[in-house]
Amino acid sequence: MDIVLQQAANGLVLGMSYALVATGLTLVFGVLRMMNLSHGELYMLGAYILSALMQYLGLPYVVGCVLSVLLVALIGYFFGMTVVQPASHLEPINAMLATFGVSTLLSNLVLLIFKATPRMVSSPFQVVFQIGPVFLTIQKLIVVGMGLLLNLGVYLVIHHTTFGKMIWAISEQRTAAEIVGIDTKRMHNLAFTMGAVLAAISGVLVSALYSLAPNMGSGIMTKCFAIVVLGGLGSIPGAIIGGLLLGLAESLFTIIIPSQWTPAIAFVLLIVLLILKPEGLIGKSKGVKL
Amino acid sequence: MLEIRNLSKSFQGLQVFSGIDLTVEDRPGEKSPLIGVIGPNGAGKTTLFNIFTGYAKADGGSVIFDGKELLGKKPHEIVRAGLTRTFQSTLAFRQLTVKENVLVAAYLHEDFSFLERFIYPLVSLKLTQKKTRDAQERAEKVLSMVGMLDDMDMVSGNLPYGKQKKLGIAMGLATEPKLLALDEPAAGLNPHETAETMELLQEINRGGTAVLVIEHNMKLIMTACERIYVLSGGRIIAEGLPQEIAKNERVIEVYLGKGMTAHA
Amino acid sequence: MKRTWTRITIAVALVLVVAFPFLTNAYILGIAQAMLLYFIYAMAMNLLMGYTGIRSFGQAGFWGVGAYVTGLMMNMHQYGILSLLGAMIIGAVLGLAVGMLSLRLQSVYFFITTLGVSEMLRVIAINWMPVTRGPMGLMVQPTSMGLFLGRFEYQTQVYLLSVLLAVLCFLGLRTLMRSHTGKILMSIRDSEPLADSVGVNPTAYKVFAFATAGAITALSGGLNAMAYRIVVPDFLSMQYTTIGLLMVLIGGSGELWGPLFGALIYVGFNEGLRSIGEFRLVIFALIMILVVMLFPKGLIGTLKQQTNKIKQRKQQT
Repeated sequence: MDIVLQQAANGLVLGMSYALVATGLTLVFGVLRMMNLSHGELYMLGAYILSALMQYLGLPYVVGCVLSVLLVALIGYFFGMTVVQPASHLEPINAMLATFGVSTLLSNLVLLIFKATPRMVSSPFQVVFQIGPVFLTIQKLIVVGMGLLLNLGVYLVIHHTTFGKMIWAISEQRTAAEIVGIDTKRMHNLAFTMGAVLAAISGVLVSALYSLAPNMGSGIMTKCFAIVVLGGLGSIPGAIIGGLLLGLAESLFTIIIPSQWTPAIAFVLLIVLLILKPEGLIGKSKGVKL
Repeated sequence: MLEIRNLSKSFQGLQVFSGIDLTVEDRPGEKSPLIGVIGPNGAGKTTLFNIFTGYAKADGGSVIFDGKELLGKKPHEIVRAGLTRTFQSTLAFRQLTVKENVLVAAYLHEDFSFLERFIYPLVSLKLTQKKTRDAQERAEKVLSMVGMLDDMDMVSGNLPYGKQKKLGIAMGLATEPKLLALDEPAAGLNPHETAETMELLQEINRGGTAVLVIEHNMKLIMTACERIYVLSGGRIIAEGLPQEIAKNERVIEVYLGKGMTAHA
Repeated sequence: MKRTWTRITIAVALVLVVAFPFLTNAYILGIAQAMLLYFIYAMAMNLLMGYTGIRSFGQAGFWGVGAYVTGLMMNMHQYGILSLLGAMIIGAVLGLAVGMLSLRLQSVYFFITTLGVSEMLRVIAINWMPVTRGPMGLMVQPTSMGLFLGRFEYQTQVYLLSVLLAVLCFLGLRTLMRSHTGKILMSIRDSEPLADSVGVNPTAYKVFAFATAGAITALSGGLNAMAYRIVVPDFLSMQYTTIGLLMVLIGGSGELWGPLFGALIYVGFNEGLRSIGEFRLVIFALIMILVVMLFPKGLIGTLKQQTNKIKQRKQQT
């Protein structure tokens, strides 16, 4: 029983890190109506830039985090403007290939610069403490806390601010939004910068928990696909709940099956779900256009 | 032939329509029915079409065609049963030529077997030659009926709007339906093209096909249709001969506002 | 007259292609081999995406499965040709299964499912050590190809078999697209609801295209296993799906000769950039982004567009 609780706790932490990235992905999809396949690389860059700042510039963890998130936001904004935004007007397959190109570009650049050897980041919050039978670190609590705060924040912004409502308008009816005078281009840029920030924050927080590898971006992307389908494309609450569920499922399953098989869980869940309920658990379904 | 009974549909809390009854009778040996559906924009006419042709779900009621229930069936199954529809906006397969567009529809009645669909085409064209030639002949007949034989090899995406709409009707014809349901076939056409369309519809009807048409063009509806349904505010507010509809107070009210009379 | 010249050119080209192994060294033959098997992959992709309009992001799943099945069968001392047949059958079965389950979904969900299936297969390949030997890869024992090719050297055998299969695939695809089924597939690409409205059962035809493309993709993967004699889980990754997509886009989606040019260009570029070493993938990614965004119609498509414009201008003067 103890081990179940421990794994459940770990699962929530893991799930929260997934949820952050997934929220960013689903936000970009909702606004731009396209899958940004380079989204995972922003998560990876968050972790790697932090690691580099700490190792080569000797910056402390917290400063490194803030700086890294800012830099990744800039990088996300740059690629959003130059590639993602123009690509959203192309055929969907071309758009996805263009973003996949960005993803390959970034992951291979990192591979070239940092090589594939796993890196670690140490944060000052790794003190272990115990609640009942469960061992936790403050770092893990921060992940969950930040995650909840950020996701809640995004949800509130979308539903209760003018800015958020404008983003919602664009995702529902782009043409109508343009007629009303909303600067869709600026909104797109803001949306994927927001997504980049979320992914980067997840990356910097998680970097102290697991080791870094240049392919961690694509690793989390494939899980995020499963999550956004679970929760429904374009649904932020869906991304959060889906992320948490997946994290829990993965951690709990390691009790019974060897850990190398855990990535498969996401896909099994995905496939089972798509067979049973093609519209996702929580999201809306988009009908056929005639 | 077609009996729609007590059909209702709501969408995200809004009642689109309810209690819809519509009939297209079978009249063997007599003139086929030509029925019109009119009503203000947004009244739900296209949604109605979408429901009985398999593109949308109904909340209640039934649609019986030739004794079989249509609700819940997929569009291509409904076409097979003998009910074909045209669309208001999606008109043709844009990258295919005019002839190819009609051919795809004409293939329906060749009744290809599983082997003929999925194995023989990988091997040799000769194996399905007889059926494809037959389909070609029927496609050419349809094209000549609508007057587009000369445009046969044009890529349909390059056609002007009026011709694309005609192509849509040709494709519907090529499926050899018992009932052809048209969604605003004259929308966006100039008076000359509208008159052509009207004649075409009447010719199709004379040939033995029942026609059900949604339209906004009053002249077309009043001249061509023998019976008219008026859909407004989610209900059928009037039904009958064109002369009756023209004098119907509720219809006038809906179109022109209270206290006005229609000048025919 | 033009027809006869075309036929002569094709005949001469074919003779050269067949005689190639006896004219050059092993290294260049290896490049030609790569072009052939990627050509087959591109044809499958073109059928799926260019002609039927199905956007699958998991073709690497079929490619890798084809490679593993062929490799395993050859290690069981089966004839090369049978090993490839086995790969194609498994590819078709996989395509039918995945297709029937997921082709009724909307396109974004379908794309994610295909990606999910290929990733799941990759995880299985990494972990199923007794069969796939995991990340270290599966070594493939060379066996005879069968079909009376046994008298030649192994590399030549594989090459000649590849030529035969590539030609067969090309002819089969050409016949398919000229047939009634081909026209129906294209109608589904142009507008699925409209095809439905004229009596076409879109799901049935999409499953057919998906299974056929799956079988041909598996064939390509199998040839890869034969030619290079190693199979790794990486074959099932998004990287290999992208190669397929890219070849079709570069060559021209929905064009009969598109796959050939796409494969030639891809393999050519890959070889040309080999000297840059690890930086190659970065350059490749950059080129991919530029091509996809600037030439969405691909080589053949853009050429056609330009020649049409020139024709129109000539007509006006």
